[in-house]
Amino acid sequence: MAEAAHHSGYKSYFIIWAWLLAMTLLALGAGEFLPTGVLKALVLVGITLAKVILIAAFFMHLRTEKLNLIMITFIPVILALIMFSFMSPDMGETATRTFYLR
Amino acid sequence: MDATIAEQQRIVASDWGGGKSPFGTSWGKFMMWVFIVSDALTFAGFIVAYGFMRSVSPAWPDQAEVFSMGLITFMTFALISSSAVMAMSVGAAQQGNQKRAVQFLWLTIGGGLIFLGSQAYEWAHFIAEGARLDFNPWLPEVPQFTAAFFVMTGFHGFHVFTGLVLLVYTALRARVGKYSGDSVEIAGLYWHFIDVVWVFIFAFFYLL
Repeated sequence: MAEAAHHSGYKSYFIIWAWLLAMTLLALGAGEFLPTGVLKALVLVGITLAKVILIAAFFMHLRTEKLNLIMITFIPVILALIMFSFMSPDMGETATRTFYLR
Repeated sequence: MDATIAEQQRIVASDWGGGKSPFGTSWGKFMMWVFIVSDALTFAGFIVAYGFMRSVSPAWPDQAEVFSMGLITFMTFALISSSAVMAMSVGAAQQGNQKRAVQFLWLTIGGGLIFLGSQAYEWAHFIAEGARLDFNPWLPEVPQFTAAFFVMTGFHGFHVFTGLVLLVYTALRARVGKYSGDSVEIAGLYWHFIDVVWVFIFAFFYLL
C-alpha cells in the first residue's frame, strides 16, 4: 500500500517535471519568435508565474501546507511588488532623458 | 459574561491561542520558509534594479547574439530535473526509504554540479570576450548589461554552490542514518527556491 502510494508520488513529480520542461520550451519559443514588446513581456511573465506556482505547490508542497504558512510566503512578495511599482514614474523615456541628456 | 468566556475559548482553540504552531510545521522548516521569503525579496530587488537599468538604457544587446541559448536551455533543463529528483528524494525520505532518498540526493547534487559547471563555462567565455562588471564589449555605452549579468547570475550561482554544500551535508548524514524526512525536506525547500529564482532570471534576463 505504502509502496503504491510512493510510486504514485513519483509519477506526479514526473508529470510536473514534464510540464515545467514544456513551459520552458514555450518560453524559449516566445523569446525567439515574438517581437519585443508588451505581448512578449506578458507571455513570459505568465509562463514564469505558472512555473513558479507549479514548483511551489507540488515540489515545495505548499498546496498541502496550512493557509497561515501559504500567506506568509506570498503576502511579503505582493507587498514588495506594490513598493517597487512606486518606481514606475522614474522609468521609461523620462528617466532616460534625465540620466543621459542632463 | 458568557459571551466573554465563549470568546476566550474561541481564541484559545484557534491557531493563535498559544501552545501550538499556527503554521502547523516544525521550527526548522518554518525558519527555512522565513529565510526563503527574505531571500526572494533580495532577488526581487535585483530583478527590479535590472528592469530599471534596462528601461533607462538607450539600447540593449540582443541576447540571442550574445548568449548561447542552447547552453542556457541545457542549464535550465539540468536545474529543473535536479529539482524534480529532489522532490522525489523528499518523498522517499518521508516514506522512510533511506537508500532511495540518498540515491535521489546524489542525483540532485549531480544536476547541480552540471548547472554550476555550465555557468562557470559561460562566465569564462564571457570574460574571455572582454566582458567585465563595468565594461560591455558588445555595446560599450551600456555597461549595465554586463553588470546585471555578473551580479544576478553570480548571486544565483553562489546560492547553487551553498545549496550543493547543504545537499552534500544532508546526503552524508542520511547515508549513516542521521536524517529525517524533515531535514531532507528543509534542504529540498532551499534547492527548489534556487530553481524558482532561475526561472525568473531565465525569462527576464535571457529571453525578454
